[in-house]
Amino acid sequence: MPFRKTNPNKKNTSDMCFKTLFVILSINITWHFIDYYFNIDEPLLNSIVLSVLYFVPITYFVIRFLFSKEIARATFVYDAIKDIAIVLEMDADGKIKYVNSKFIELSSYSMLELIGQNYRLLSAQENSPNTFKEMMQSFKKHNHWRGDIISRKKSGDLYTLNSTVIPVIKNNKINGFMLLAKDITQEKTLTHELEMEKSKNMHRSRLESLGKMSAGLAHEMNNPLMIVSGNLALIKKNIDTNDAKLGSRFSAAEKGLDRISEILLGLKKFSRTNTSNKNMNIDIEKLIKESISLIKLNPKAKGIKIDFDFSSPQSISVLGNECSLEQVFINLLNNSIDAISLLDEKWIKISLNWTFDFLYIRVVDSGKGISSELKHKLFEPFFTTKEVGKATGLGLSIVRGIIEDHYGEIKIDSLSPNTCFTINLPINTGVNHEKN
Amino acid sequence: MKKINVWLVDDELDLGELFNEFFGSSSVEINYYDSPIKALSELSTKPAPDVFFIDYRMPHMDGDQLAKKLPEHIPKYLITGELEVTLLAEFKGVIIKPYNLKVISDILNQINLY
Repeated sequence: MPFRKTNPNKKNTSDMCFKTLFVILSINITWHFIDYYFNIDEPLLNSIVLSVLYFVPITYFVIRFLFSKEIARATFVYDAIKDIAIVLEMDADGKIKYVNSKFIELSSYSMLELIGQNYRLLSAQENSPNTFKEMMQSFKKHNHWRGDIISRKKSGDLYTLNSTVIPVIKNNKINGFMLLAKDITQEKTLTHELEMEKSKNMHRSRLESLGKMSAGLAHEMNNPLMIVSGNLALIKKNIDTNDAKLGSRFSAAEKGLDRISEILLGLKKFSRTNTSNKNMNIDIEKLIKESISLIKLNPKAKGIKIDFDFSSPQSISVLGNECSLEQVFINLLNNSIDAISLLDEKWIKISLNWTFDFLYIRVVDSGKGISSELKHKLFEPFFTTKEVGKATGLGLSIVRGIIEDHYGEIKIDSLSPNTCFTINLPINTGVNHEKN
Repeated sequence: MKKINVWLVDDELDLGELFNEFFGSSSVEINYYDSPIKALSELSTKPAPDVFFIDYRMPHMDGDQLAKKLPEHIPKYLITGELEVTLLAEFKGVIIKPYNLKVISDILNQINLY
């Protein structure tokens, strides 16, 4: 049932009715008193005055009776609202004067803790500074403000209220505020999760199409590669084998072709983007080496020295998905490349350490480290320091997701003077084999 | 020693030439065809080879489709640049490109022994 929006600027009718009633009653009593005391014998005057005096109260009571329905309805509606929505009443300074039980439940504060408290103190730092600025601007014009407000419960958890804040106007001044709100914390979380899923899927499909492209590319390159190396071998057969210089030229050429072959092999493996099988036994040293050879294809990587420090008689295995883990290293390395390509000092060092059951990987680049404010936000989805359009900011959040899927951890070592990521992963202790 | 007859079907003609250069000798005869259709038509006029080396990705038909049309008793080897190839019933073995020439020469030696 729709109800009339009460315009806070209209003079309060019920207030007026009471005042009028008082005046009429007073005149009524006074007249009767005068009439009786002075014995006024003016019939016309008498009837006029008496009819007015009786007509007006009757009219008043009729109006009041009709209006009482409105009052009753308004009260009824207000009580209903308190059951449905979150309701707060504040004075002109923002001090809480009334909260309904829904708010008490949500905020996990008690009524005593809330009454007298300034509402602004309840709100979280996570609100954008614009929120309160906009609110003030609306209030100046005596308008409602509608928006989302993030607050903290007593327990410290955050919650979001989709709120309408109404300034209560009396005599053209703000007398207080009313806040009506709906708890949208769950909706927000769901939306956020949905966005994450969507972008993860987009990323996955982009990866797959990239993989397919790489497969085609690698495949096409194999034939000419064979032709070159085959003919090279044939030429070598027909030359003077004692000429050392010629011999070394051939070795150099053959080495170059081997490198191409390796890269193509890496690309082909990358093309097998199978991210679903999580039970693969992955040789981590081989994986990192492959990732390095892949990112060396990035033109920005030119001039960057990449060192991989790892020496172990045994190969170390991790259980999980090879493609996803490769993504992790490719992502970290590409981030490093982007960060340091314009610096004077350009290097990336990867080192591996291990205990019986855990693997510790450090990826350090010559960058000057990450500031502590950024450190916390770095792994958040959509966070990026790069310009709009240059990066989606998804990489590190997905990287962290992958590492966590593998029961590992990724952190930033802020004690290092350079930018340093540390990853630890459980070793697949069931398998340990000698390197061939 | 009988001269072995080897047929190579690969749409890359240069690879055929290379194959010939490497393995063609007094004891090995290499015939290379850059189209599976050509190879099939030659089968009706020329003597059948001792072994087939067939490329997987070719225009008109894939290597395995060609293999199905060839005489069953002759051993066939699939040469491919793909990583994801399972050994199909028609083939005795799979050789991945770029291949080590030693792999081929081993196979040829084996055939020579028969």
